[in-house]
Amino acid sequence: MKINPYKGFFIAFEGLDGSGSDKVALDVVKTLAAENYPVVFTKEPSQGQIGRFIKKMIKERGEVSPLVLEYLFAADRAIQMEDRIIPSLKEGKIVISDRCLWSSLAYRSLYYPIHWILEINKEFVLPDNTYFIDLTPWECSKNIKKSEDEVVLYETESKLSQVREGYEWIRNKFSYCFDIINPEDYTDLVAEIIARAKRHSKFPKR
Amino acid sequence: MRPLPENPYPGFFIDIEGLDGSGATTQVALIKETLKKEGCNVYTTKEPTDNVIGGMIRGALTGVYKLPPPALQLLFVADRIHHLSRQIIPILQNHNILITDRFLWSTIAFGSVNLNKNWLVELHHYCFIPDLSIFLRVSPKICVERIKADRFDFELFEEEKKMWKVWDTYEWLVKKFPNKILVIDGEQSQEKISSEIFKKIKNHPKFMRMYRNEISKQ
Repeated sequence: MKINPYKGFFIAFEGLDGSGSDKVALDVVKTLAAENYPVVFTKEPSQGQIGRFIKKMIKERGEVSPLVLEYLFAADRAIQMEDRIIPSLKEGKIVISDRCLWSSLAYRSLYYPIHWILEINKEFVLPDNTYFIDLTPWECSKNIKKSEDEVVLYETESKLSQVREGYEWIRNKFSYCFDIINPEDYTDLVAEIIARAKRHSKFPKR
Repeated sequence: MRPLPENPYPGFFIDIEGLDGSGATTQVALIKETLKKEGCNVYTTKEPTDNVIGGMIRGALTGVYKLPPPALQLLFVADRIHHLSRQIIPILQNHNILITDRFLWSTIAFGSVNLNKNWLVELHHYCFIPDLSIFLRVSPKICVERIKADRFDFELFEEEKKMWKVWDTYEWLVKKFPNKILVIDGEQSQEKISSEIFKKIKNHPKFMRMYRNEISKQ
């Protein structure tokens, strides 16, 4: 995977299905925008043709081939990188993504060796920092059952526990850019992201 | 480069490959007829498929919208994995012959115009390679002339310069996968080409095992 070589700063939020990573990400986007920082929000799967197809597959069929899913997610990611993320980073914006290639690693490591998944995703720009929403598989499973419209790949506690192990692996391997946050209390997060963005060597001064 | 898995099923899996305009589609139909006359159970298929993912690929190839090169090739692989589970594997499980108009070699050869070919090979680690692949060798110059004569719309790949790069990668694959991909001169007459392909099929050990005594010696 590639280290971000651009002016802008790239942040991702990750977590198990039901962890509410989307809510935290959007909350941060709103706060940054309110403070007049140039900020762009993306999510995986995307709102584009492939992203919508992924969601449809997951929603309509219980058993989706994890292999087909991996290629589709990577294709969807390639389009977002090219069309949105890289152009925004070049312009010096802060890009906030709800999920990124770490999700591929964590979710597909249930079926395939993590090194092979890394190989598939090796041309993509890595987020400068990732925040993992720390909720137990039990809490996530409970949240999924509460909300009806959420499209999730796995909802059982045991499957979610396996996914969490995948995230643990990433966290150990990439500890320099992977932090854990408490979804109940992340009041300092925006200030921290701004500070980190400013430390990013090429981030435009304001 | 790690080796790619081989066909684990009893059926005989044949792939006809080549540049656009090389005559692969025509040969798939001719070979099917020949094998049928010999009494074989033979099916044909093609890539991209007619399912949803295949449709997205065609949209990009015909210029309805643009896709970044890695996205296009990843879609081809997704389409292929779906194709395998829905059509290819069931046909091969039942001891049939299946001839496909393009398979993984096309992704590697065509994708290599913009992307690293070793990465394209590695994408196929959970796919398998056909028992016999035929590369119809036709020079890009001739392919371009054929396309101009035959078709009104000019698809994405059908530009001579890119074709030379695709050709080079096919030649690289032929060297990397000896005995798996055989070359046939595709600039001969259609009849000559199909009789040469038929000869390669007849002499393949898997085919001989399947149809021992049944095929007349020619």
